[in-house]
Amino acid sequence: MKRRQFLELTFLTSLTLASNPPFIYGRGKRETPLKVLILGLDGLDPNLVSRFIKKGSLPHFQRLISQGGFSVLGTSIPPQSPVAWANFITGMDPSGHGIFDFMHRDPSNYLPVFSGTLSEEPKKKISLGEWVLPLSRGQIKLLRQGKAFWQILEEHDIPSVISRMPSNYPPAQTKQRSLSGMGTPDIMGSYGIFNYYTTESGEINPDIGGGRIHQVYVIGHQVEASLPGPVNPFRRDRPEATLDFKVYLDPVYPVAKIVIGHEEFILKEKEWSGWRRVEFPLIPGKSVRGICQFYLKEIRPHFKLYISPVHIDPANPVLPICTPADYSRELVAHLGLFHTKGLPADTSALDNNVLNEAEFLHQDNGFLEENLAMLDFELQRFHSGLLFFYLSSTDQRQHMFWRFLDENHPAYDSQLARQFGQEIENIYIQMDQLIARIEKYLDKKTVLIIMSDHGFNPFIRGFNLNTWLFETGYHKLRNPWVQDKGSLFEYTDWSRTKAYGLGLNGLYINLKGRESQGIVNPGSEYEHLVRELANRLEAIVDPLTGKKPIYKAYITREIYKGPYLNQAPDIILGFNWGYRISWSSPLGKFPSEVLEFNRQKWSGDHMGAAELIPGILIANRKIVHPAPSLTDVTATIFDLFGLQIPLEMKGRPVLKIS
Amino acid sequence: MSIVNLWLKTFLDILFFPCRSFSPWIALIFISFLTGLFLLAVYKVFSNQQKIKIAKNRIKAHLLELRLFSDDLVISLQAQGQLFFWNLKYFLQVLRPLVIMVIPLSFLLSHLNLWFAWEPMPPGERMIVKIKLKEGVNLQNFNISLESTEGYEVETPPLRIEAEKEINWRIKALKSGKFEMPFWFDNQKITKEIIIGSNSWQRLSPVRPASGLIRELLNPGERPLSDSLIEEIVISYPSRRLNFFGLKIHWLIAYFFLSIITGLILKRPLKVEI
Repeated sequence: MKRRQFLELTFLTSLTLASNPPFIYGRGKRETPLKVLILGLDGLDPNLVSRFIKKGSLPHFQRLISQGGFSVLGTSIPPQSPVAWANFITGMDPSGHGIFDFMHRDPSNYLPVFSGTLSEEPKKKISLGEWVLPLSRGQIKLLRQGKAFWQILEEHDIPSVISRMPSNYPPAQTKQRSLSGMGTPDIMGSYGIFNYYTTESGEINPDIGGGRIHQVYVIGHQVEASLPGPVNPFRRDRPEATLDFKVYLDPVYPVAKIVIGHEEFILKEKEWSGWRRVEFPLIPGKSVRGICQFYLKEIRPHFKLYISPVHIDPANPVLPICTPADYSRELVAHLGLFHTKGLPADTSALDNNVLNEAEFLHQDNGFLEENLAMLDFELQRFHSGLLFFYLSSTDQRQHMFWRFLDENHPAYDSQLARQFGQEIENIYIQMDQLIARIEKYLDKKTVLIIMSDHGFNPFIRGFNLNTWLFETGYHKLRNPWVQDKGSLFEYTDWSRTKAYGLGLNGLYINLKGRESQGIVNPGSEYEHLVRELANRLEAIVDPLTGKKPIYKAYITREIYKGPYLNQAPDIILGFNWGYRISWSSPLGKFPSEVLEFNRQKWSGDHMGAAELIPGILIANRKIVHPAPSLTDVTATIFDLFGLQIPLEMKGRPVLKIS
Repeated sequence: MSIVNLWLKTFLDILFFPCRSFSPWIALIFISFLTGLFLLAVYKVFSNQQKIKIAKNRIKAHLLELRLFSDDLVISLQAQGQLFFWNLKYFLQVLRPLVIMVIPLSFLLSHLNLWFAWEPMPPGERMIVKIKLKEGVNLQNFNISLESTEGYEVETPPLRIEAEKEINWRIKALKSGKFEMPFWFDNQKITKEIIIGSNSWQRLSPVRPASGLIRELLNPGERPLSDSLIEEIVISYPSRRLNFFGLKIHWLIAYFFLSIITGLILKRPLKVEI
């Protein structure tokens, strides 16, 4: 090749790559006879769908069901979203993929850890006075085991797009387009921390979950404050990086200007800012970028400003949120900035009265619109293979608005119920309208599957598992008189403790050889104890209602046989209708009552027995399986593409391909 | 100052007119080429080419001397002294053309900034319009209003910031085009040009300043304000970055790089010693 030809070829190749990045993705390219479109609607409840169809609120669901099929969909044990979606992703049960709960425990110290992700600091560092410089990269590992179905499709050259799949952060290695969903943290590495700035001292409460409330002062029509950011790993004392900002208030009109970093914008009272970029300086030349929304709740008489959790900037992601690495940038170029945190709805802000119901809905509707625009964008180029798209709004609305469906719920408020009593039905109607919206993209070769991971039930009474274990003598405290003080088993006497509760459904035996201070011998002592506990838990009766709070205590060794069984809780609690684990118990606390009312706005949930809250399966093809489960949907995908179902998967195909 | 600005504005308007429907890169390459050519010409005319050549040759010779006699300390030190001396002479030789270049280049850069540094706000987007007042003006007694037009809508009441001596409004772009923003105070009307549009490349004037040499040099887009109370009117247009194979770069970097390349390529055919 002559030099000139070489230069021309290099130039042309660079031009092609720059103008058409997907060319280099190398994802599946096969033209498939069928296209599979899967909408994952978190928490879509089959009972409510049936009820709203009867009422005539869901005409598009009704038409789709009459053309294809409808079935309840067996959920995971426990029916928590990370567990259930991992079942679907891998086609295996939790003992096959290793996710048993939102939270697992570290048996060496009995502390909770995230079940899906492990963050590791750089192994090699050098200290220079107050500064620490990493010499290697830190790592974020996906702890879900097993191959994701789209990785197997990729091996067969079948293209797929996986958008916002839960239990997939950081996204599984693939050249297919994927964007991580539930489990993706905010920029602080948490599930989402909002910031609220107020001059009203009565609102200051240091003890709230999911947010921080800051006292500020208006001096000369000006407010100065700072926005907390991620921990600065370049400093020895690891302080939080912060970004100072100023708010200028007009002396008369309800309008203010916010100046933060390179951004400045004007908001009227009760206005949202949309996404704004913020940049937290770490060391000279190194900073972390994120995006967040501002809401000017009030200017006078009190100044109140809400700032949403800072999401990872999809145009410049500081953490791995997609595959290939420039996929999120491509989406930003076409759609503008969008949320990246796994569950974007700020339920903590609503629960803590920082946002009211209308403000919460306004924000969440914005997130939903972003998702729908992204779905439209992907549907326009969906010509072959599989497209999976996940929406969380169904789940989040039911969590927060279930209290208005039941006048007997402890958090019921008749005035609010008049205003917001229809919100759960409304989100189902929005999903119905979504079916109409996507219909134009469906042709005869498109198989449409709508699925949810679980159903819903009210959360009226909370069960304090650790208190029950303490009262029945299975858990010992060093100082019983401080029972309701402390957290994370601060006062536990592990040398005399046989069992402890951690996570949202899990009960662990303090097993010798597994737990660092275990006292229960493996073998018959362990087996006997587990059986005894399961029987006693199932026999508990709520003196107030006469109901059994625990519908089923699943002994994990009896229901699971996979390779990761050793990481499982020993018993998984399947709660009865209306019951759930309390707010305190998963944090290793011991409140005085075993059973307590849930007065939070978070009023609907899905920690029940799997038999009581199945998910839903709707398709535009006939459903031939009498009782399908999540893993059957995975098997169906392979069947639809004419692939052999991998041996480690448990499911069977459920759709009839005509 | 206004006459120079008017002349340069007209010149660039005519020069860039054929490029307006293309990428800004076309115009930037074109103006960089012209700049390189112009600077070479200035350099040739206002420098002593013979003396520059001698200075460069002596520098080369002493560099060679340094290499050849690196083991002889005395000669090396003498060579370094000579190198310093001839470098200084070279610097003095090029200083005159450089000083002469700075004047037209400053005007040109501030005008090119209007073309390449910002992009117009697309319809539907929001931006801030600021009036900055001079020291000593009492903001609370300064009654000024901004009217909506068919091109944009004023969305907020005036926001007065005493600490910054500013009055701010938020406006929403409605319709593509070039519009006049009318501000009213004390029955007087002053205006500011605003351009709204998407995917368009044109000259934008983010600042209309009060009269003054430096202010007019830095903000040449519009005639200066005659009113003595207002220091400037500012529109917060979004910054423009040029796309170079996915890399976003500031126009100045591309401009200087291309001008230097042009100069280096043309110095030999034009017989310019630089």
